[in-house]
Amino acid sequence: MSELALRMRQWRGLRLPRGWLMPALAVALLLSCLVAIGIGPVRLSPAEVWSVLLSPLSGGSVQDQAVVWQLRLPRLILAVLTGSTLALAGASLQGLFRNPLADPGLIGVSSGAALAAGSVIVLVGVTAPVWLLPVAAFGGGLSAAIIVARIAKVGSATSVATLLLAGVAMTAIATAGLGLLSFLADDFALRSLTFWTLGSLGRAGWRELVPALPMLILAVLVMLRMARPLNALLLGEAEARHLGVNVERLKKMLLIWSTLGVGAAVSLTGIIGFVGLLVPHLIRLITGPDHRIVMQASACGGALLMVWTDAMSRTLVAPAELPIGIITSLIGGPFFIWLLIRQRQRIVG
Amino acid sequence: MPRILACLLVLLPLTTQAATAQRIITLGTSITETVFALGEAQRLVGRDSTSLYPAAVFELPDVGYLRTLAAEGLLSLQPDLVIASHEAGPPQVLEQLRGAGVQVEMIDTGPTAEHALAAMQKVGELLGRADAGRELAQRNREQLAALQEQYAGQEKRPRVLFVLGGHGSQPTIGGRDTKAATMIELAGGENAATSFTSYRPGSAEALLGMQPDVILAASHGMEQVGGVDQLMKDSALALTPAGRSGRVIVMNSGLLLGMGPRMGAAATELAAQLHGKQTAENVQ
Repeated sequence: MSELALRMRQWRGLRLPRGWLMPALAVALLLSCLVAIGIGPVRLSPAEVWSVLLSPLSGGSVQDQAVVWQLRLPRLILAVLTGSTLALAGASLQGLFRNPLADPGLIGVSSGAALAAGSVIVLVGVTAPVWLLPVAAFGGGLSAAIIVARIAKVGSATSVATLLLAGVAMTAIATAGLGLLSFLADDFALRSLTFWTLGSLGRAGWRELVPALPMLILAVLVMLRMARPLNALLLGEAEARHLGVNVERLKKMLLIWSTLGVGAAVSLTGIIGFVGLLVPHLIRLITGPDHRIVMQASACGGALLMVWTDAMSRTLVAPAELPIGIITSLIGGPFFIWLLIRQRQRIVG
Repeated sequence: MPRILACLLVLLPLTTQAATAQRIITLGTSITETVFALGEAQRLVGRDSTSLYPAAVFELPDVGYLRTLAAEGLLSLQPDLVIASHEAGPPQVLEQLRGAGVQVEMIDTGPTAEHALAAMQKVGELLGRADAGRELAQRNREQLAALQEQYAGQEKRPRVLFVLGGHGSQPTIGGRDTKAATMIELAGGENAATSFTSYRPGSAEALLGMQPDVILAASHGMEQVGGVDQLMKDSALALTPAGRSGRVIVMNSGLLLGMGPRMGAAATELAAQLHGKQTAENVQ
């Protein structure tokens, strides 16, 4: 990673000056939110959207009210927070593991959540109360991450290498569990399960969003504050310790908050691939490895990506909806290949 | 009972409001088919992706799979009434539709004939065509009663195994509480797979153990596996009594499993093939 980081730094001169990136991203995000709230299968002009937003009780018809306030607004907020959380968790874990391939899914959160959600879909089925699926998904993600963290704990220290391997093993177990569930599932449950694992922001209204909000916001804020110690960690654990960083506490905080954040996000949206991997990489390509910028810019970039992919998800195949995970992975996959090819050329050249 | 009556009274104004609904979305194949059968298709503005009959449904916008609906997509069709199978969801989306002022009516489209008949009547009521709905249900009820009369006294019912499709050596078969099982029983047969519910893959030994006299295959599933002959070749079905005697019936999946207004006709057709001296050659 540090070699990669150095090489990336050499390329920096060709790009946007660093000082411009954050303001540019923040403005882009703000503008995107304003534009995206006007996009959707129900055709509303910007003027209509704004009249509804500015006068929540009197503007527009009942349907316009519902579309803007009950559908698009919670969705937009969820897109911003989920995107930020996933990208920040990706950046944090890549920093923690000093491994560019780290992804929020790596510590078992996503697979644990998927296994729990799958159990509800297949074993409880249509009779399940509405709240059960997100609660189970959150609980499953949390439990999987706790088990992984426990395995990696030796005395009072956490071994990063063991954490990575335990995460891989946990994912393998959860995948096997999901396989078993899809074997047990009938046609209906199978399709629901597939759709859940492809992600969607359409399931969350205010009632689902509000309990998750504090968790998502706190996760974003806490992870943003970890930028400086993460920079020290880039040098290595021993070096970071000499610089006065409480490495064990840092690991613990990063694990706890990325787990809580990703768990809360996944419980509402299902699994959304590649955001956590893609966004921090893209930002590092532009700015170099300094976490102070990478973290902030990832939070904005992740939100930006989600706002637009969600706008695509609800309009591309309207009146139906394309699962957002398909779009993020479809953009993420080719991008990642391009990244690999570029990196290879640089190392050879 | 008084509580049910109270509920009905509360629902009464809604039902009359629905009767005049002119922009309707149907979610669920049997519901869509019933609206068409009642001659009210001109009031439809959308349907779900499982609604594939009659061919005119393809002119309607497809709102996607009925378990993964998108509220805004449905709203964009400006419906005043959504008639949904109980399988439709996610529940949050249906609530969001109600929140936007759309009347959403759920109908239990469970796997029994009673469910199907009640659903036809309910759709008729919701459309303001209660008489026509009752008539449609009555016609189906009579067809089913005729079949029952015909095969009630029969001592040995043919054991029928329903094959939905799936992969070669482990075809997906229909267990208890499925529409396939209901149709087999309505047609005077006996479902051979009773050890499990819903549709599951069956291993070679399980298939042999079921000893089916007749194999009933869904047409769309057979396209997937490359035809009935291929299915028999790939799986242990060839070794069952049905396989040895070549008694295979292929039926259109929508007709067989739709359990909508064509239920009685489908059961009659299945019964004719089941009890006539049918072989693989003269079916299809």
